[in-house]
Amino acid sequence: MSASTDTARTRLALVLGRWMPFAMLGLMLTWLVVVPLVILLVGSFSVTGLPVDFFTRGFTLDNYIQTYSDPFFWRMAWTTTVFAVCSALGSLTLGIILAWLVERTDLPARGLVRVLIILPLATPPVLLAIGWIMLLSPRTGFFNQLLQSGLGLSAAPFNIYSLTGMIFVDMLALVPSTFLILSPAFRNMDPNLEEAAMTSGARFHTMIWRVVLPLLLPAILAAGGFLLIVGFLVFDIPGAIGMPVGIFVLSTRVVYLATDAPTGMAEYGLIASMAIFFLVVLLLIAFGYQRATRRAARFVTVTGKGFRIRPFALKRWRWVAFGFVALYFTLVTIAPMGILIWASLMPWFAQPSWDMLQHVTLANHLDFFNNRRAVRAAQNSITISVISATAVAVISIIISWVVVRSNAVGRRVLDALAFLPIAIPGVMIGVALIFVYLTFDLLPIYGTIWIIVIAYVTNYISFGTRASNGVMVQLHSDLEEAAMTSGARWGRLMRSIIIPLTLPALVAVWIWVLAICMRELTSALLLQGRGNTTVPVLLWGYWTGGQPNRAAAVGVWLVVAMLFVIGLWQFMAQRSRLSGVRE
Amino acid sequence: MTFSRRSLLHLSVLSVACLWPAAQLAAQSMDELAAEAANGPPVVWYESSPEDQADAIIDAFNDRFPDVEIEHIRITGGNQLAARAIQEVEARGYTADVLTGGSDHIWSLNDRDVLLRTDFTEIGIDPALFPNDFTVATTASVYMIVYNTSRMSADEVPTNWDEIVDARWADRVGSWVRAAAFAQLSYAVGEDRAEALLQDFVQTRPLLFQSTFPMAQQVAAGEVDWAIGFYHTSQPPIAAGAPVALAPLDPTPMHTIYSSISANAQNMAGAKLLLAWLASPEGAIAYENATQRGNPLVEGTRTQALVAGVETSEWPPERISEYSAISERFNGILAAVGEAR
Repeated sequence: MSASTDTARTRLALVLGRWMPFAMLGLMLTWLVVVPLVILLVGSFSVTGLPVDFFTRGFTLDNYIQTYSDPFFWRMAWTTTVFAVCSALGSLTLGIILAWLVERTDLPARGLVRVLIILPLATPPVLLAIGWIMLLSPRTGFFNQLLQSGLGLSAAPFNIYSLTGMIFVDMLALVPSTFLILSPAFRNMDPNLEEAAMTSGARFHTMIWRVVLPLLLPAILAAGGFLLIVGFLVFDIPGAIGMPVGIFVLSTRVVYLATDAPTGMAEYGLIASMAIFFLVVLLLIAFGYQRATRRAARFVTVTGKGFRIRPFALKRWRWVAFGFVALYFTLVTIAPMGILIWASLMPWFAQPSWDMLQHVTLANHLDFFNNRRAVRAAQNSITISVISATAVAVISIIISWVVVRSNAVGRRVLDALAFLPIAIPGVMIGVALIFVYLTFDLLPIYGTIWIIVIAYVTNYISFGTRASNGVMVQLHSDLEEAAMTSGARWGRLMRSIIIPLTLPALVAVWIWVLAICMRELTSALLLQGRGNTTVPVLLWGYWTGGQPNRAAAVGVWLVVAMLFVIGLWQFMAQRSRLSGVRE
Repeated sequence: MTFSRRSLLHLSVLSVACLWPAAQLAAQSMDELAAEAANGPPVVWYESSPEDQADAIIDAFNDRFPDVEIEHIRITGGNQLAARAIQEVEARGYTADVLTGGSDHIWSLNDRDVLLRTDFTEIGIDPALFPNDFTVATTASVYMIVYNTSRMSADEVPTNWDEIVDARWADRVGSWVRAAAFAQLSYAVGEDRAEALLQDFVQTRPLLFQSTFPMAQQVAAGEVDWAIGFYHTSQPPIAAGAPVALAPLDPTPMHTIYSSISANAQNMAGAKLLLAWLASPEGAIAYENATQRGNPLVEGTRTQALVAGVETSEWPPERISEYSAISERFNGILAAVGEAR
């Protein structure tokens, strides 16, 4: 009797153990992801796109017919595909090289380089794009004018207003994200594998091609998929660089439909029907990723055996590599930041020149600190970003453990649910949240910072889970089995094994989400209430209110804040021996 | 002796309030409304002006009515104003107390019974300002040529629409990404003529900008020699001392901006007070001083002086659907600027 009771209890515990993660995480993801997704779908079949009209005015297919029968849509889809694929490939290539140099080699000043690579994350893309226009515009671009006068050229050598210009700037903007996804995976790779290859007589490029890259496949594919879908959705850069010369992508169409359609109403129905296209693209990417990584054991690099990372000696290439990193940093940070600082010191938008030096003013910076709205916005941004980043990091690591490490029921469904939000345009998440929190008065958060936190957690959970999945795949099950055999419970296992080993990835996710939240605009603008204005909304107000120089000053201080956060992270990481190469 | 911008604003508001004879009549009812509104919640106002400008408007309002609190929420893009207000009304039964937007947005809201229908004369509003019983004209965006004085002299600035679309401006001009100027122009010159002008304009390969505010700044930077912009969005670089000047268009397209009270306003007296004040010379001038966007229908505004004697072109609000169709088609034509390259 007692034995059968014990058996029943054990069975129950096993069943619960298999079902509980799915039930709990499923419930949370349903609320965060499925509800907006359903509202998106409902909106796509509604006359106006507003979910409420689906119930009051009925069902329609007009949004789909109008969207997908328009040849302009397919032309834009092609341009968007070229833009997204080229940007993703470019930033992936750069990101892989930089992550390898920083995490696996004896590159000089790696800690500093790591900070400098991540730093541009805080720059709002619209300011980055404007910076590059000021540098490479064929008419007034600073670099073009320098080259024309210096080399006696009759025409400007560069034209930023082109598809190539858009790809170039977007590629640079995406590198920090790529680096943050990839660097933990590089760090966790057992150097014995590389050494074994070299000892067996493999050449350097063979070792990279046959050993390093295949081992990093999950992380690279995760980063690639993420970058690809971001390329499909990003508006700021195509809006600032492509739109002036009539190069339109799908995201510019989404913004047009949301704000400029001459019907008097945001065309949410058409936007929602377009978002379905993004969802299909995303599902294809997710499917490809799952197929490529279905044999997870192939990618295990962190086993029960300890290893010490011995940096790969670059020898005579050491300073060449450092020069490459310096060139990258000049392009991505110094040049656009320099122009941003210049703009922030000017009373109006003007190119750098000796004549304009007499107009230099600190008024834009002083205004940022003396303006009560700016102070309030800074407080809101910091609160929202810290809470969102922490929530995303914690939720991501739990989801990734369940998806990759456990045998819980429905873990693939959880993974898909966690990846889906990236395909929902921020404007539609905003619409969905307004609907949910106005209609179902469960939580009185409409118009507060908390509705923005929910939007951000929903939006960025896909990034968090991609980054932590990539690292989780690398952990060998020996580690958990050893802990379980020693009697450790799940909490202890997470606390003592999983979290310490995935901490670099967790911190990377935290930093990334924090930086992106500090600059996110679309959702914050749509969900703006009485007291939840954020810094990017303030910046947008300056930008659209004809005060780009004040916007530039805000951008400069965003980067300074980010520098402080990353510096603090590096300092703490050095102290706890978690950061960098563990010599 | 020096005056701050704010003291000048208050001085001008005060002088107009004293000079306008009809103001006394309105002030009477406004004071009654203010007494009632002071007991209610803050008056929530959805409008598109940047927060700093809204602060200046509210300061001027509170100088006159210190006990009535106004909460301004900036909604950029009138389309989102309409969508948000409708969602709020459908879900919780009310939205902002006062809503300010273009005729297309206000008419969308009226179609959904979001707006209060009332006799605006009862709160002292000049009948010339309201075309119907649900909305009041409170300001306007007036198109002008914005040009860089370092790149071209005043003599070179095009003076009529044929000159505007001349091929000599190829790669030297800028435009809002919306072809709304040509759509409004079509009311005065006819749809075919406006379309032909737009087709020629596209051949000059204008740089297209998401908003006319950054466009004016790019004129200041010399990125384009001139652009078709708005009077008010060109003021920031001009005020900062940039080499930017304005020239009139003939005919001059414009968009009237309307304000309405929501049917279920949480502070109805406050909403009526704010609307009555915005429609009064005192409020109109305070609004114009803060935003540089004035009401051409109100005596004493700079905008009225700006369009005096000029042929303006704007589709009447009751024919908004015709305007929308033309605007949508013209936006498509302007979007073909990429092919023109």
